[in-house]
Amino acid sequence: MTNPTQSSGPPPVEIEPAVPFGESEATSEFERTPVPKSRLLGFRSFIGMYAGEHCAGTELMIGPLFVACGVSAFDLIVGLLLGNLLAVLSWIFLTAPIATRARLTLYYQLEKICGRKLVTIYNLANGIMFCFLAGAMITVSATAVGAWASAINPNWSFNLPENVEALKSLYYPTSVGWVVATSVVGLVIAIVAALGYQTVSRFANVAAPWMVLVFLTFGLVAFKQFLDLTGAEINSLGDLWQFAKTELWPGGDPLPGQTKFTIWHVTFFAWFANAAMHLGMADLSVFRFAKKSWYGVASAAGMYVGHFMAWIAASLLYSYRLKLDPTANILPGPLTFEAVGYAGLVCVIIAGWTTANPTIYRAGLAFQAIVPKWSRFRVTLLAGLVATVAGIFPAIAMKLLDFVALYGLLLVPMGAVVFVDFWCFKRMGLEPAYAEKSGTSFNWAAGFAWILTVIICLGLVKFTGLQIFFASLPGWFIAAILYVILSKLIQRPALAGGKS
Amino acid sequence: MKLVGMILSAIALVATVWPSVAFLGGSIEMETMKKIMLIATIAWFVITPFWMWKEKEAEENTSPAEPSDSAS
Repeated sequence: MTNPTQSSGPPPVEIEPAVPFGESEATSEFERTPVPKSRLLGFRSFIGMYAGEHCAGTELMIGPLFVACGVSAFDLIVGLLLGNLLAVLSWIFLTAPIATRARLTLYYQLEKICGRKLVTIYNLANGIMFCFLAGAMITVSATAVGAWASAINPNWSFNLPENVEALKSLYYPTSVGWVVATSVVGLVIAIVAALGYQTVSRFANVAAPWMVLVFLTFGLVAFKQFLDLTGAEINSLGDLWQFAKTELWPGGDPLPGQTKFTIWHVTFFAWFANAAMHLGMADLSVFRFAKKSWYGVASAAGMYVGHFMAWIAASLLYSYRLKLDPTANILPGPLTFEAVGYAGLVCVIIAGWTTANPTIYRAGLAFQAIVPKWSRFRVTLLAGLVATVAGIFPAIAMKLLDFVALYGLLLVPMGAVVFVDFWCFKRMGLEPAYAEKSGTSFNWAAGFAWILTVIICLGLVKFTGLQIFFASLPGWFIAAILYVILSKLIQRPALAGGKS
Repeated sequence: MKLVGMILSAIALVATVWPSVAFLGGSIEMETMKKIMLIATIAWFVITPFWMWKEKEAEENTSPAEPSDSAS
């Protein structure tokens, strides 16, 4: 997951992901025009952006959830190496080449292809997902507030139960204290997002380097605690690997309510965690500023810092906790507090806050497209309230792996539409950017391709046993094929009619 | 002044991560590590905005015609 606030400003409606230099207020003049050569950015800009933005509050849930899913050392390490590599390759070969040729935002490009009404529906779907994602971030931050309250007074109950046997209770609020903690955190984030995004964005830029290092300390401290607990001595890489296999990530059955993760689950999850950004093409808005398409390789900085180091570090925190108490629950606040003290709590709160803030802002923008007469303040506050209510229910955070997979599945088909439209349509004798050329506000070929793909993939998940973590890949191909077939059916009569 | 701020921020960053490395090596106790990390955290957030935000403002004040490549 990403922390979008490392950008210089808010993009209109992006996915969890980030859009850095794109679509900020400073560069809003390029929302509907290609980025000129004079405004292109160098490679290092992209390295810095990706490295910083992929250390978000949700990493503190994802790492531990791998452990809860019974992942083994080999499956985790190799799966993450492979999955993140596939993600980087997707940025390099799918997203960046289109971005550096068209130099348009995803949303303008989609509008040209799909028409304004269909883009509005896409934005609404995006906005709803944003609200739930922000809710998970609020949940993460609230666990730190709860841990802070307990540190002040052990009798204060502002957190979720620390025992995983109370699993059922993890899907709804467990105490008045928890509701108060999440409500306060959520409302503060919502009000700040509604009042103004820029300050949080600037604060997030300050926090980013520090957060990356604090994530690293989580792993180092947990590793040392493991060594002390087991009395193991590490004298070689062989010792380290043996220790990892037997103590750090021993594998085995998943915890109740979680899916057993194999190497393929880890690989596909790592690949598709940001599917909306690469396969889904949201990062067209980022790489339109790149001088060369190979700058897509900069995404490796984010993947191997945030989705490798940070996930592994966070997983070690929980793995150690499970070693002490096999019924321990995943609560990022208490986990980090026990490891590095108040610095850890500050990290969790900031990581959650700086990520939830722009997410809520973007959800607000998406909703504003539906109700344009509402003020930006009003829609952002509404989105924040929805996210706050979602955050009170910890189900999304506890099922974050599934939610992220669903999120990717929902947005990836539109990426396939953009890809096919850009590269294949002219060669097939079809008209690219059909909505713009035909003047339609709803391109039914793109709309049906998107909706049918989601329905087909969810059907595969429901009726064939295909797990949702793997559904985005066939989804991309299904959407591409459907878009071509439907466009042939729709465009030919329309164009023929137009010509006559 | 900016240079001094950057050096102090760098020291704060080192002081954020160094205690955990020292703890891993067995040089310091956990409680000491936590205290140093907290102090380093406060130092980072007090010092860094002064030079980083000013730098940002300077960038934003540059002419739109100029490439913002300066960040790279």
